[in-house]
Amino acid sequence: MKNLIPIDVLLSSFGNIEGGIIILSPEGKVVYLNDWILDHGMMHSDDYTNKPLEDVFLGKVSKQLLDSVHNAAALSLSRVLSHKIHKDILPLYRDKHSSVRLPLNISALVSPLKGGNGILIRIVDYTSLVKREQQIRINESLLTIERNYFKKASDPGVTLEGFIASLIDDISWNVSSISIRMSFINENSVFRYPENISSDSLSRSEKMVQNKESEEGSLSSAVEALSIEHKTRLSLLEFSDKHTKAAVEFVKNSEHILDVSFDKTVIKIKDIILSLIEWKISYEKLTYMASHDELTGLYNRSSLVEKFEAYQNDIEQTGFGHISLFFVDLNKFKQINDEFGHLFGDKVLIKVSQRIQKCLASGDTAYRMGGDEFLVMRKDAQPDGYVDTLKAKISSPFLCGSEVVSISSSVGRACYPKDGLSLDELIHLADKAMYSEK
Amino acid sequence: MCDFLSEDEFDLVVELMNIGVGKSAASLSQIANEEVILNVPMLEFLSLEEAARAFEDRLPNSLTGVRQSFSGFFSGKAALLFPESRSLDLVNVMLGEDGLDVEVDAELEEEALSELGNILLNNCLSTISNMLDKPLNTLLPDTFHTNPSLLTDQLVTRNDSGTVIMLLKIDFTLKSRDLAGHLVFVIDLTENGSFKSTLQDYLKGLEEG
Repeated sequence: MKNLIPIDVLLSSFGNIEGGIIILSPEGKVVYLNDWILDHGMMHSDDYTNKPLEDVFLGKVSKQLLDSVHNAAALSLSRVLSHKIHKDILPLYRDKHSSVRLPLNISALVSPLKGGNGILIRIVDYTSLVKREQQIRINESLLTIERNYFKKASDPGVTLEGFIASLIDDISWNVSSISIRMSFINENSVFRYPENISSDSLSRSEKMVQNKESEEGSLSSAVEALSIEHKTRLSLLEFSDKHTKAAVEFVKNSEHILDVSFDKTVIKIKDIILSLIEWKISYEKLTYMASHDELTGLYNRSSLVEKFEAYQNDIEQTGFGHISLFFVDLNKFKQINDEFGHLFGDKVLIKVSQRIQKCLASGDTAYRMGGDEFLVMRKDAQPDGYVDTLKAKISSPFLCGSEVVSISSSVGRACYPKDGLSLDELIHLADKAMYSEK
Repeated sequence: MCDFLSEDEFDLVVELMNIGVGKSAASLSQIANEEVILNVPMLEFLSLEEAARAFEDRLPNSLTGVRQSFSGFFSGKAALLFPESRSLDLVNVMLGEDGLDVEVDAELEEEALSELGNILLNNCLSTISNMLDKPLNTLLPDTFHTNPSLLTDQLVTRNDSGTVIMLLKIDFTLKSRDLAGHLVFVIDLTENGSFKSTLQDYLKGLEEG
């Protein structure tokens, strides 16, 4: 053995390779196995010296490897056995003591040593290399998804549900080893994705959230406990709006994914889903705030401009249609304010807004123009009697606090394109008509 | 074409290469689980200058190759060359595309390509070695990327008149796809240069036997 191979020299030169080294004598008997082989190989005992390769590895050596060893000994030919082409070259496992042994995906490089002194077999473990490569690609694609959806969150044309659905689709497509199911819970409405697939544990956690079965702070750990009980991977996503939560379940699609990398990937995906949905929710709020009146929930003046232009474009393109504007002003609102105070006045405005909203047909929109002025826009010619309906609805008495309030209104109207072409012109006309009525 | 070998010697080499390539076809068929047909339509011996010209004339612009050194009664380097665009194609056709992994480890597939080259080169070299009964040993192969103008520099270790290049075109037919590769043997005649005399001895042996 001593005059056979300078092992130290050999091993040091392969020090940067994590993998196996097998050295055979010219007769094909095992002279040396490194620790890596001993750790991963299925064999009778550690006493391998001077036994043929087949005996050491319990007869589970592939024919190709034996042939290559033979060729190396007899003909000094070097040989590559690629992991892509050959399975089960040697009985090597990731964890040979575990009950579920995963075979390692290895390549073997067989080369005769100089001067016919023996044969060197190098084992390269591709399992970890391929895994690492896959993980890198998953991470890259998650980053891309994060970036794309970060942008997409600001698109008001995409609904929150649509956003969640396509986000989950995208992640599932890129991380094929993991399935994701989500229940997005907002107050009492639940949006499930994918729609038809649910599980006991997921619907159980939906109920937990909806019935507020645990206190706010411990809900998340209650879901964790449920997760352990059902032997699944369930998490609760809590958003800054405390009425909004999501339960997500992650399912392994393949047994070949390691627990460690499954865990890591799940945490990453969870973070991404949480932060992107949070973004989308914030954007939805922002868009709402930008287009709605804060007090009454009606549209505000700036969205009137937008909507009017959109309607106007439609009419210009099709060549026919009308837009009717109704300018509503409450009579003697100032008195209510003076008598009962501003808070009471605000309440009245809210009630009046609700009444106005009840007069809207589909396609109609209502705006608060400021103070006690409102505007209703209809994409239609003015039907007879609409002004009266509006007035009657507003003036019917209602209870505000302990006071009965009845407030009348004046309504002026203008119609596009008959009365004017620009929005300002039309508002001015409707306003004037309203005043003359007052 | 350089007149390095006599007509009989040349015929002998053609015969040996045909046997080697035939054996390779059998090994590759086993891997591909389907008949792989290889044939050698052309074999020629060229001087270094002729080879450089031939490479530029005939080989596609980007090449992927598997090269392997050998030494014994003749020494040098052998290389199997493919158009770069089709090299992994060969691996995929041989192994059957297994969907997901194809993109993931394109780089790792180069090793599979090494093995395919290894099979071809070993079979050719070991056939020569066996038939002529002279020992020959090979080192492990490696893959490389190149273009025709750099090829001579990459394969030829010593640039002198003692170098002869044996060039073979090999046509692959498998799974109803066609692929052509080129085998290049760079033979260094100055080192243990007994290639020609070994051929002559063998031919003499045939006559006597």
